[in-house]
Amino acid sequence: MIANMKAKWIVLLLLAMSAPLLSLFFGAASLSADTIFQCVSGSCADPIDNTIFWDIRFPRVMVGFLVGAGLSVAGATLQNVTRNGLADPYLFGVVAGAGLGASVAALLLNSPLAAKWGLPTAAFGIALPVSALIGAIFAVIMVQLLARSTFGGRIEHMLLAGVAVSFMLSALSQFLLFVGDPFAANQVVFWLMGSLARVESHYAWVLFAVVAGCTAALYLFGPRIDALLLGDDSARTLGVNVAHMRMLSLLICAGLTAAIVSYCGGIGFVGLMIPHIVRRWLGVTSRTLFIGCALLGGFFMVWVDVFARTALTGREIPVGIITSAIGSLFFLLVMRQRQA
Amino acid sequence: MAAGYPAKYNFSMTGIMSTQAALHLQDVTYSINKKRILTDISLGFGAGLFHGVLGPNGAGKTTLLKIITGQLQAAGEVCWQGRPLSDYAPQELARHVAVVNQINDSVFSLTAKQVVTMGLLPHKNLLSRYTRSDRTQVLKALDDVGLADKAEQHFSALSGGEQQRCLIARALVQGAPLLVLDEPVNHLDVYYQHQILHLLHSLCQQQGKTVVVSLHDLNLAAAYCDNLVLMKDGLVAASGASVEVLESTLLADIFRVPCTVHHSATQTARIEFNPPFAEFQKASTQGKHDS
Repeated sequence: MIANMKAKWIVLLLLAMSAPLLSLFFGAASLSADTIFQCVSGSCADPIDNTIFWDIRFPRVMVGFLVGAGLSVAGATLQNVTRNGLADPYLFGVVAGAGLGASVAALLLNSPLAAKWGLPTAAFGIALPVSALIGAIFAVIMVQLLARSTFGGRIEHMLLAGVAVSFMLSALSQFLLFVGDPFAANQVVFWLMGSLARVESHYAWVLFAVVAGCTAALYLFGPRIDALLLGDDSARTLGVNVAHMRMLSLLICAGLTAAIVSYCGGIGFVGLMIPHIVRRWLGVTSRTLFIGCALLGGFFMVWVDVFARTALTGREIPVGIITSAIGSLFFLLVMRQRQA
Repeated sequence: MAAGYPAKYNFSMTGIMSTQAALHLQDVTYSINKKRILTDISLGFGAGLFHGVLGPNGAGKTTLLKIITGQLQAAGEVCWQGRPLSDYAPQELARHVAVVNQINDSVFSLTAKQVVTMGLLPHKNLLSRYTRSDRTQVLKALDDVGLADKAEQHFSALSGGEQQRCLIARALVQGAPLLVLDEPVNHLDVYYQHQILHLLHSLCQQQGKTVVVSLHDLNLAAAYCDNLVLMKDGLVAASGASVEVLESTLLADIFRVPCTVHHSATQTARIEFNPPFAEFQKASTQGKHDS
């Protein structure tokens, strides 16, 4: 049993470590293996190759790993905290909220008003993620308030409130885009498809800090989140402040998801699928689940991005499209297995 | 019912002199939406004893247990070891009072060992690690309740009695001197009913735990409990040593079923019920439900 678990962890660790390394060899620009080894060792002959490797490919692989890890950890947390295997960052309105934030930012920055105030286009790079973050947190607070006031705070009701808020906020952002500037609408639509193409190297480090910080915090909360698995009352009798714990976990997940979604757009189903696999493979307790999810989620996303970059020559497929396609198939398979 | 029960039902509190009680309730009143659930309850629960709380459905047993475990806040005072419950921080309280509620099944399949490990939580802060001695303690608790061989099995795959014992093991790991269980033998067959109560009884005797359980079966209560609290309509009808509380007129009045109590010097008291079938018949032919 214990030896078996160890073997599973080693396999997962190897998968997770090899994925980013191997994926460095794939990309739009063809860098030979020799060039890559040279760049890594700091003795790159061609400065262009060096730039391609360090400023484009490396951050992108890193961000891919972090995005997969972050979304999976957020999904796992939401599932354990709500005791619902179908919970996903999407269901709590985080993505719809971020979408609304992004839409507002895109519209404002493309409006004549922005031109009049002489806002630089560089502002866009910061304003869009920041307002997406604000939108995401707004959504979480709204879900909490609704779940408490309208539905009496029961956990199933939080999911219902999440779905309702999601639709409400998407309707709002779609309306804004409909009446607003077509260029902004275009930007937001592409943003919603999810892509790692916009990644810049400074973002990779910001994301690294966010994902590592949030995962570490959730890891520390692990045993308390586990206590929720047998019901709120049971957790309370173990001295857990259930309302605080749940709110804090939700806020961390919202922050984590928002940090990812604000730059990379809507990348669906990762947060649903990866925890599902890890739970079956390694177990349900939070600490195990979070670390397993970080590793497997990172592995998965890195390869999805490799596929996105290389499947069509000359252009990229938005990763959100690929994860949704794989995720929905996976979902159907799981449902079928449960039926049998 | 506003007034208390007639004086003849107030027994001497053998072994639970309320001033010496480890758990002490003074004028505890609890209402929901102006509806009284409990009225002026004053009780003492002696340390190291097995206490049973009895009464018909709706008497307020579960509410009482929730109040003495700090899950509900009521008017009046509840003191554990001389300190009001409200003075305890949640985590500190969890080191003093362990609760086994009616079983909640989990959607995610935790193993028995993982469920028992939860009991360590009140002793851990965010940064503490789970050590080898923690693991030994968990396995020992599982062994104490006879589940050593089921440690790696899924909680949801255990039988009702095994789940109950697993939760008791969790309470043991919690290390609290007061153990409160709400109807621990509901839905269990005769074998498990005795097994659970026997286990709790031995915890009182061997580890000095104070145990409070709510029960429906008067004969089980007679067999295992040192002291009994008899409740009806949110009032304490009687409390005291089991032998004294189990009295036929009182029981007949409270449960509305005539009964005979057979006391014997060598065995525990035995209660025999004589249900009022004529009354049931009348009620069913008239198409009315007895309130």
